[in-house]
Amino acid sequence: MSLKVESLTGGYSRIPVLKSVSFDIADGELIGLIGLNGAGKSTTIKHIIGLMKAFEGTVQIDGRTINEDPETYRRKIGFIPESPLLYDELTLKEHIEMTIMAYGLERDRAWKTANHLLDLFRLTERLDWFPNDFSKGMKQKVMIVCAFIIEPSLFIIDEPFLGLDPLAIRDLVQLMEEHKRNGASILMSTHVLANAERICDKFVVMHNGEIYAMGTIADLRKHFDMPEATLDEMYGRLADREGF
Amino acid sequence: MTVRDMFKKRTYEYYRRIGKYLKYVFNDHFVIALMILTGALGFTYSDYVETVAPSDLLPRLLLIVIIYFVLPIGGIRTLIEPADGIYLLPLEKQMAPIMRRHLLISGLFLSAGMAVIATLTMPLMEALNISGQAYSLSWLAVLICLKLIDLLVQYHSFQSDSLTLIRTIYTGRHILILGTLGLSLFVSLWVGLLLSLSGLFGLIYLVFSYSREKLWNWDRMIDIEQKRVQGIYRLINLFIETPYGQNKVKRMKGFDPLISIISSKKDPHMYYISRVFIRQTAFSGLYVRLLTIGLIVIYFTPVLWLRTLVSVLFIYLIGFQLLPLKQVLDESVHFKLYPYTNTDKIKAIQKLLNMALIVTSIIFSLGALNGGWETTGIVFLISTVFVFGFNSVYVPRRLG
Repeated sequence: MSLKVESLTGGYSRIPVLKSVSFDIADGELIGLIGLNGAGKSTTIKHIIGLMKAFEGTVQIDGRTINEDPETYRRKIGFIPESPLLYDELTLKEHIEMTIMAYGLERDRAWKTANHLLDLFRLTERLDWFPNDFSKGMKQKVMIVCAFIIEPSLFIIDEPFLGLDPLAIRDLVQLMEEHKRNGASILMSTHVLANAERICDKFVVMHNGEIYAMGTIADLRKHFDMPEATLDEMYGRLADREGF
Repeated sequence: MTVRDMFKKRTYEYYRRIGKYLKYVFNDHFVIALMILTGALGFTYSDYVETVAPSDLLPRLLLIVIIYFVLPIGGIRTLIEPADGIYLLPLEKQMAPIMRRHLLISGLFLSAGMAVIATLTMPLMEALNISGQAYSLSWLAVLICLKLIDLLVQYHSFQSDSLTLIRTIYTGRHILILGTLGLSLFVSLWVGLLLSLSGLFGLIYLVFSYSREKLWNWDRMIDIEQKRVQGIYRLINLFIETPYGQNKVKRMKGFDPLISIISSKKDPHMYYISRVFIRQTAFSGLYVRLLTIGLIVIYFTPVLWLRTLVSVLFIYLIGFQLLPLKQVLDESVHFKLYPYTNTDKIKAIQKLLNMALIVTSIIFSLGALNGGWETTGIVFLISTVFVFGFNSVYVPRRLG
């Protein structure tokens, strides 16, 4: 079991945003985290990566919480945030060096992966630039490269498709599938439901800080009693019915 | 609310903000440093004036160069903001009286500045036998005319959409200023005054009668005002952090070898802050400027104990201003995510400070070389001891 979230309650101040959220991701599984703006997706992610502390409940990666062994815990996560987080003062090359240093990666191996990815994303020519001057999509690509050279056991990807060109989306999906086959688990939050339906193994549908429904697309169809329906249709129905 | 009221409000806000920051700029350390600097410079200047003979060429050339570079400092305070280029476009006509007012205020304020320059240069003018009496009103009048010409040329460019015309007038301005200064200092103050006055009246005619119906060149006004305000904040940012300081990041490729010397291949904190220090102009610019000011003061200060004091004072100022590097590390989300528990950020900052401040101490002591090797040795020794004290006692306490 790669990621296990158990009755997680948490939020920004005393008032909890998340109310007893539980789900887990097995090795080699890709889970889609679905929900409207403000449903609690990003808050859930912040709790998992350890930027926020849970009021109650636990988050475990490979059976350990962050407090037991923060270094190992963090090393297992590759995080691609929704809005790219970059250093203003570092070049693209230095972002990669920094990642290698901070995660204690083996240089040659990491650079081999990095070069392959940079090539794929057509960034090789820009190694000496400040990524902060890049377009949104190119910044996102930098984050993807940095996350993938870590070779984590759990990828957390927040809204990966916005700003990426169609080629990059295709390449990213391929990369995700490749790593999945090698046993990595992926938690992906997205609003692009068509993409999610195509690539995710299971879904966690969140609303108001709670899990509304969970399971494979077949499970969801059964849950909503809508055979043959797409994720988009089910989601629309759900939103109408609940008055979201 | 009319545009007039809006600009009144802006004016009020502008002075309130600048006033607030100036209060911090003129703090105790700075006032002491400023007094020492003024004293040292005044001393050197009066010594120099004694040696000047009425027929000397060099002091005249020096005066021309200094005035020529001091003159363009300070433009029209328009308080135009970038968004005005969209929102105020329909108010073209209503802008004229407002802008004229801004021109008048800036003209008065900067004329006062020229009066200071005139007073400061008067002893030299007297020594050169250019001005007859102790205080020459015509020299003051020449300087004020030149400043007003400078402002009117700028005002003209606000209303002109022809870049060639703007360039021509700017070139004319250079010639007029240099011509006036040359005539005033080499021929007669009266001839210079005559030239500058005719230039001034010509420009007044050009700006207010000839090209009256012109539209405002908003892009140009916005650009010039932004540069003006940024210049002021750059100056203030030497002393305190303001939110208006442009945290500009420059690639500065030439410094890459230096970075690779000071940064570490193993410690991510050091790797990062050494690059922040060099590439963020807020830090590197501050370092270079304080280093330069300190060096000049030390060079001109004649007394050993004062030199040592200035050196220590400026090392303290530089070190103190570099402490926000810790904040840069604290605010970075990356360092919260990295699996890196050896989070000794303070150690990395101490390492960087050690290098930056010891270099400062070396440069300052070299600046004291005109006092002999012994002076240099003493300044270096005391400064370096202070650096280690600052780093090992003050820094951990302050940041911990």
